[in-house]
Order: sequence, then C-alpha cells, then structure tokens
Amino acid sequence: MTDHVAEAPVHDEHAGHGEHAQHGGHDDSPEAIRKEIRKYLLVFGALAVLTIITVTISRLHLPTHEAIALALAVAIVKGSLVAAFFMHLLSERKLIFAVLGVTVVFFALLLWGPWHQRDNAMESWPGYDTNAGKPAPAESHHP
Amino acid sequence: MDGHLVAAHGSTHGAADAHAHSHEIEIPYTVHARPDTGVYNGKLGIWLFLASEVMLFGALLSTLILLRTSAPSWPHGWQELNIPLATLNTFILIGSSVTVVLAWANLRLGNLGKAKIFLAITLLCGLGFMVIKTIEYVTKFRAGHFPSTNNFFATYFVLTGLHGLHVLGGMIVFAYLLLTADKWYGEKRDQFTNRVEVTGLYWHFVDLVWIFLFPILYLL
Repeated sequence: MTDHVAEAPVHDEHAGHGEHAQHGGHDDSPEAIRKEIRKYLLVFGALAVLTIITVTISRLHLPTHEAIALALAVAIVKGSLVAAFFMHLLSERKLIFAVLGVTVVFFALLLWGPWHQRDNAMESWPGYDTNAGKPAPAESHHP
Repeated sequence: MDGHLVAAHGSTHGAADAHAHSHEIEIPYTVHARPDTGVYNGKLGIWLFLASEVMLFGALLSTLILLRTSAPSWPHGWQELNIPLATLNTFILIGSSVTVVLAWANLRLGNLGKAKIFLAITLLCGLGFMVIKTIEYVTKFRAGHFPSTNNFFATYFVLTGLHGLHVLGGMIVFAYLLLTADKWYGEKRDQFTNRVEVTGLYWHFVDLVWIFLFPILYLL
C-alpha cells in the first residue's frame, strides 16, 4: 500500500496526490474504485452463502461441541471477510494492527478464563442456577 | 489547512490575536494522515473505540460462557428463538455493510447523489433490523419470556439489546450524515468522505458482532 500523506506537507490538502486523490491510503482512481465495488459485491455474495451454510448446519442438530466448532468456524470466516474487505484491514497501517493485536490478546484472555473453568464451573460458582427457572426439554440438555 | 492549527499563530501574534481567531481552530489531521501514526486521526480514534467495544462485548460473551458451562441445562437457541427472523436480520445487516462501502466509494468517485442513496438504504436497513428485533422482543414478552425468566433469556436480551443500541447509534449518525451531506460535501469533501469511512468502520463492527451473536444465541 502506498502512503502519500507522510511525505505531503500537512497544510496542503492536495499536495502529493499525484493524478488522483487518495483517502486513507486508498487509490481513488475511478478504475481502482470500480474494481473495489466489484470486490464488495463478491464479498456480499460470499457472506450470504456462508449465512445459508450456518443456518443449514444448525438444522443438522449436531452434537454440541461439533455444532459450536462448526458455527464458530463459519462465523470466523464471515467476520474475517468483513474485517479484511469492508474494514480494509488488508491495506491498513501497522499501528491499527498493533491496536487490534493488543485487543485480541485481552479478548482471548477474557474468554479463556470461564472456558478454562468449564469443567468445575458448577463447583466454582455455587448458586449459579438460582435464576434458571425454565428447564429445557430433556433432549436439548447438554451431556 | 489539515494538520495546521491556526491557533498556533497565537504564539507569534500574541494572546489577544489568538483569542480573536480562536473560532478558526481546526481539528488537525481530519483528512491527511499524521506522519507518525500513518492514519488520519478519525480513523485511529474509531479503531481505538472499536477496541474498547470488543472488550465490552467480550465481557458479556465471557459471562455467557460462564453461565452456560455451569448450568445443568441450557435450551438451544433454535428451540426458543425465531430463526427465520434472525436470518433475515443477518441478511439485512450484511446488505447494509455493502451499502455503506458503496456510499463511501461513490463519494470518492464524486457521485454525491448515489452516495446519499446508499446512505439512505443503509439507514433503512438499520430501521428494518430494529423493527424485526422489536417484533422478536414483543413476541417473547407476550409469551412471558423476560430477562428475569432465566439465564438464557437474560443473556439473550442483554446481548441483543446492547447490539440493538449500537444499531440505533449508527442510525443516528447515518441520519446526521445524510442530512448534512450537501453542506459538508460542498465545503469539505475529503473530510466528509472520511467521516463516512469511519462511520462505516463502526457499522461493519456492528455487523461483525451480529455475525457472531447469530449462531451463538440462535443456532446453538
């Protein structure tokens, strides 16, 4: 990715733009933008198909662990498409990746805690179920 | 004048002069990137905000894991919730993510008219999402399901409610952008284009959160 701005005088709106203006490091030539638009529409198609796949998988009523793994795998692919193309992470600056990297680490820690304790959660959190008033049908219970 | 503080002249022309020109102060780096960060300030700001949002939703997802793994029984989402409506909402949000980037692309092409149409469609998508979510909520309330009913519905209402508030917030910003588009695009085209981009980044994040909430709450 080119970054014209770092070299451009900060007080000159159009200095260093060359033939076409740029926004945030994106090429603003009409050809490049039209190419981007086609890419966005393709990503939309992929997301739509993946949504149908997600719903179809859920109708198979797989065992809980397999269902969670598959559903999250598809969700991660969909999320990656959104982040990579719609949020332009493919062409983003290092600083943004640094911010995201720190965020991912702490997010993972946040989820790891209760997941790590899942096998003895009932002992660790006595009284956890005091509000679970409506029992689920027998066939829907977790093993 | 990007990256240039008019008030800085105050140091050479005196405090009184600076005060007289204080109304000319501009927020720096709204268009061009700061040389040290490589991005314009709005973009860095929205990414930092989104990082905090990840932690906010992360705390609630962590709570969901804790409650679900420690519960002796937990209903499947597909038994309790309306999958067709949620699927429709998924398509609506994905579609709105596309219309945002199309609005931004058209602004860069100089097509303000088309950009406004795409912003309006995005706003309508947000409205459609909220209407469907309201139908879902009302149906649940009529069936006697409230956040206090059990932990399943507590997490469902809290997570989807917080997400819905984010959709509402995005809609307010899109309405503002739409209403002020002519003025801003005429006066500060590049700055307005960047505003649409950062608002789009926020909206994509809202879409991204739903992409995970949909299977976690409805399908598992």
